[in-house]
Amino acid sequence: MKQEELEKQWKQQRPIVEVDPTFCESVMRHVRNASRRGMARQWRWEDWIGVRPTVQGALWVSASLVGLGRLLWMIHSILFQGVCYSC
Amino acid sequence: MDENKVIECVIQGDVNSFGLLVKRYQRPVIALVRDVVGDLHLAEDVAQEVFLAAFKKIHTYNPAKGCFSTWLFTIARNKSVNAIKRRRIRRVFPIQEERRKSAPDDQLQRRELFLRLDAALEELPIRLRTVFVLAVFHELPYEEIARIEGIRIGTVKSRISRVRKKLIVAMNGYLGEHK
Repeated sequence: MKQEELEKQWKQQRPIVEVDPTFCESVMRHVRNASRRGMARQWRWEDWIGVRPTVQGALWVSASLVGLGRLLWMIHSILFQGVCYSC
Repeated sequence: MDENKVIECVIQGDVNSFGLLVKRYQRPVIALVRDVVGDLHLAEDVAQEVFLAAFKKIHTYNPAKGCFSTWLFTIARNKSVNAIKRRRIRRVFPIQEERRKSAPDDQLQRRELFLRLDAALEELPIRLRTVFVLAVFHELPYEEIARIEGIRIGTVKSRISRVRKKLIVAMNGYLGEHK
């Protein structure tokens, strides 16, 4: 007898799972409790920015903010200090 | 009703729609947990945890990354592993024991073998056991197992091959002799 056949027989002789008829209701009771406690609708970034945040996205936003900050600082320096740090 | 629509309803706050998902997946989830932890009563408790965790995290489910069953089985697999780590579990299948008493010799030998295989499975490291259970008992495709386990398909194949090599020891004397 091949090993695969034996594994098949092994699988077939395993007791079939008989689900307790109250299982679903029991789960739903816990789910409703969790829902009442507000655990199902937690605060989510998606609700505020419209997309699911990713590490790549966070890096992109950080880099953009740093770039924008440097630009604003340069403009500020030229206008109010008369110095251009790029020159 | 389409599964993704049901999930969308749950995310929108329709708690009762989650019951449709529980009814659809309760048997495969309990069976999967039972096969990993080896105890039906514990499996029901763990399956409850699985569905509750799925409900709390359902907004993180992304259909583009795989089907709902894969996502749910991933939770089931992780919760089962946690349950095993929490306490040492004896794998006992009482139905087999009852059948043994009235079985003829050949069947009795076979039952003995299956008990040996159950024991051999219990001795396996968890990461090998879960892959084997998903592949052999639940007949999931390698790609899905790879997603559930968070490993590559090649690793799935090599783990199954390792388990089979280990099980040959438990099958010793049975392979090739019986038809």
